[in-house]
Amino acid sequence: MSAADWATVVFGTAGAFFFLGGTLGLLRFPDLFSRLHALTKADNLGLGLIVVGLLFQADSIAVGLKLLLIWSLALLASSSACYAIGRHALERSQAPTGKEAEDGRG
Amino acid sequence: MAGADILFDLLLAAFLVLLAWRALAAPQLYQAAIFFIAFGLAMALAWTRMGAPDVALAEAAIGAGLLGVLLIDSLAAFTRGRRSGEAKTKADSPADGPAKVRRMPRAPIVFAFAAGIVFTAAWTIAVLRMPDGGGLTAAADAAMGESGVAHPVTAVLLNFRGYDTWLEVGVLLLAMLGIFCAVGKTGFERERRPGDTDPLINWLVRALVPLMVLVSGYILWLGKTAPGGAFQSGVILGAAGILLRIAGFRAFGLLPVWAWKAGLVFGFAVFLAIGTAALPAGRAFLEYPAETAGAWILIVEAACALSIGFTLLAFFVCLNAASERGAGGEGEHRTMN
Repeated sequence: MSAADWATVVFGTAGAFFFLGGTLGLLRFPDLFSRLHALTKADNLGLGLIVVGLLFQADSIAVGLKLLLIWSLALLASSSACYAIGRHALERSQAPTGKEAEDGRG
Repeated sequence: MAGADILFDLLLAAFLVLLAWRALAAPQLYQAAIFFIAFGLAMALAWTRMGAPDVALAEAAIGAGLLGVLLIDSLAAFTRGRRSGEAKTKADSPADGPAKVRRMPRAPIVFAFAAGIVFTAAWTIAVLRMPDGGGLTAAADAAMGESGVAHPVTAVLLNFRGYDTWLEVGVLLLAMLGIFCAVGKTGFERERRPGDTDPLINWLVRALVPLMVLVSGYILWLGKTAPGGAFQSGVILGAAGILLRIAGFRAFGLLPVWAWKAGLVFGFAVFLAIGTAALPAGRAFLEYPAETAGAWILIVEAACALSIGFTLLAFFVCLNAASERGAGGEGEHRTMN
């Protein structure tokens, strides 16, 4: 394996780690706001690191730019969606509690 | 690496069955909808693994994206309707839980599952026994030169089997007519809706919608040489429209109703017109002149993409307006089913 391949493995694994952490946070965190926090980390850092890993495999500058475009679009979408969900929850006065969630996983 | 590939494919297949099962068996409709969306995304991944990126794109965009929006929107309408009903009658079901599905009896599910496994096994044996390169692959490859495009999927969809695609666009139109019959032509009024005044959402829509229109055109153009084409392009257009609609942008209400109707039938009509135009010259129905086939295909695809975008958007507009009206005037909407 070449140095570029090793770089892909390292960054890809690091990205997967953040996705794992984000998923764990989504499942285990107590309220909506901390879950959103966990999820957006997966989108921002996890996807970002995977894109960096894939950049080492890109054949041309155009492919690399497309990868970066995908990441920036995902950043825009995930942070805006997070904002919209959080705002909606605040309007319904679900203030952050810090307590165990009562809405369960049934 | 072949071993890793097979392991991944097996995991993916098992995951698909699990998601399908959970979507059917989920105790709450909301969960079922989310599982259905996840199923659509996993299915798109499966299509990619099978080397069919065209289908994967369509599955992700329609199966997971658009259908997900429609499902969750309808679900919100159900829940609203149920809550307003409860407020009047003080029903004894738990007040806050989303609508519940009745549990299905076990025996038919087990039977259907067993039948599915037998069918899959028979199907697998049949596929494995098929001769290599069987079917029409060779014939399609041989005719690529006169198809007018370089991407085989587009050649089959728009040229060799244009009839199928034309009728598919017709099916979308029929579905739209069905919705018109069921809930009425509603939601297309030229008033300004209250909409979202939030600066961040406003900015996002202003930034994303032009980009989506651009990507839609790019995907349409790309269909000549690579995965892409009318359907994928149309779905992106429709999604841009839904975004405008949800955010309550004024641009949305500027179209008069006749323009909506024209947009809905445009693709079907253009396809039909170009297909029949060559009939007097002795060509078959939907046959393009070989020298200019590429240009005709692009025209047909552009028209279809526009109509598909319009139709998918109209699905959402119509159903959304109907559900909002239903929530406003309590209980009236029940008669419309």
